[in-house]
Amino acid sequence: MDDDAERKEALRRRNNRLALALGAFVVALMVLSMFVLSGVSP
Amino acid sequence: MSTTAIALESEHHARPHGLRRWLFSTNHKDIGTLYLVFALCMLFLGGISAMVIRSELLFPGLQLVDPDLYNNLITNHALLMIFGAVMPAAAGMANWMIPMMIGAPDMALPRMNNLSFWLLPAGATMLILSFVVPFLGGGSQINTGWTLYPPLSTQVGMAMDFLIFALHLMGISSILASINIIVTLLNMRAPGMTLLKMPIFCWAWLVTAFLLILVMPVLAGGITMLLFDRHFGTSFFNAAGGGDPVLFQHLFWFFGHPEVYILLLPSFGILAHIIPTFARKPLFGYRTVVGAMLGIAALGMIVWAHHQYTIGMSLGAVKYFMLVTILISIPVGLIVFAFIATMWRGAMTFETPMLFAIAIILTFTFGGLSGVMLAVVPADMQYHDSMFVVAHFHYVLLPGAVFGLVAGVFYWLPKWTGRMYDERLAKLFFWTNVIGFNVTFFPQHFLGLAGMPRRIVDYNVMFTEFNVISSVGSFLFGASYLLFLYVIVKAVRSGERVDAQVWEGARGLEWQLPSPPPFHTWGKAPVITT
Repeated sequence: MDDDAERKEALRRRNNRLALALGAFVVALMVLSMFVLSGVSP
Repeated sequence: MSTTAIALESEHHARPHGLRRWLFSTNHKDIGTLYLVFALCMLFLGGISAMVIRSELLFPGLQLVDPDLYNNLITNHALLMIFGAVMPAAAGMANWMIPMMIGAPDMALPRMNNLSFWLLPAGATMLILSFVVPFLGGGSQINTGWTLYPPLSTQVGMAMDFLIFALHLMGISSILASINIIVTLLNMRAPGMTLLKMPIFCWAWLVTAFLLILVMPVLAGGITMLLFDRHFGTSFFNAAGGGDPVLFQHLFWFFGHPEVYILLLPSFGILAHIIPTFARKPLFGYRTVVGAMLGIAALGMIVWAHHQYTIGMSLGAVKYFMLVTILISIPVGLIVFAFIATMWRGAMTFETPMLFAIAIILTFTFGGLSGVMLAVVPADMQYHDSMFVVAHFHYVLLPGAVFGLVAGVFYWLPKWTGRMYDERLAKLFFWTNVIGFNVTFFPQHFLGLAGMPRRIVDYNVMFTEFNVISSVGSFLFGASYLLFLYVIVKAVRSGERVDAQVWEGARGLEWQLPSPPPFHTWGKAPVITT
């Protein structure tokens, strides 16, 4: 794999990691708003 | 900002054609176009409902629609305009411009980008069905307005379920688009482009995207709880079962108020490009504007209950929400003053985007001032649920969001299509649009102050004169958008060809690309040297 391809692959992984982290945050926030704010234990 | 090593990669793989190009597109410009065309369709659909509403209110008494249909129309109008027109239009501009502005080849997650868009027509279909199903034997019409407050929303027929799923789909679309934008802006900037060298439009969208992923899940949670209350025997919002309907109001407005800034900030970002271009000066106070946007987002998250002064909150809570709400006028004022200072002693010319920018500063500031009035608790107790509120938020959202996006269309259309619009017709559109807008909404302040409630199909004869003026203005306002459509179509089909530097005073990477830009934007990243 040449340098350019490696760089692109590293960028792709970095993008996916950040997107997954943000996605997990969104799901956690939705669950939090439903259960904790309503005073109902999950 | 100067750059080196600017290279445009040739079309390194075949450009798709026909339906496949649009259905399976992963190209940021094609997806941007899809968003914009979709938004324009929704603008007209939402506009038709507005025209029916104003036709009904032209005279006292019932003219065209019954009260149930009227309530259905106001709900539909708001949701179509917010989720169907303004947000997708802003997302379309983000798709088109962000990679071009930061020197990226495309969005960071192109396939997710495709999914973000194609969820929207599905959501819009559900939204339209929520309007239609009551006429197909699907129970009562939606009569809640866009706020969907229980207990009313738990009693509506199956149309409400369609609406909840529509909001879920459109919310997922927004969240995916936001994640894509954040990842693109944080990871895909050209070498040398630090965060504080990033164009303001990109900053505006970075802040907007974070706001979206912070508040949209709360709306999703709230409406899911509503769905559970409707069908699965829970009592989250049912007082008889130990729940509290006011909880829904808090969840809704925790989303709903930041949503206002989600609609406004991308347009502020557009203005921060248009004003320097036509004043031929750099933006005054770049860092101040960035800080103000962050301040608006932070304060915007903690003021939601100013929409609920009348529900009987404690005095301490009411005072807190009043004070922080008024504080927002500081960062908003900073941005407005930065725009005015940019114009100060600039070599200004008044092309259509600049005319819109000036009109926005004047009319949006007016809407902001009536907002300060509404923030003051004793005053709001009188204005609440009156036409004054309708006038206020249309003065904020039409100039602050819609006019900004329209200005962006005129500013960037030549870059997108390689063709210039007809300036004379565009100016005619500007004047009919802005005059129509003011004639429609200015009298509604007086109606509200005189005591006319909002969300009513019929009214006392004492309100007739101002309603007639408002409705006539709205017909001019609505018709002006047909001219807008004509100007766009004419430009795309037969506008004069333009070169890369469409506007003499425009600065930024996007203006170094040809007009229209090649299918693959930046094959090799430009290097920012200053």
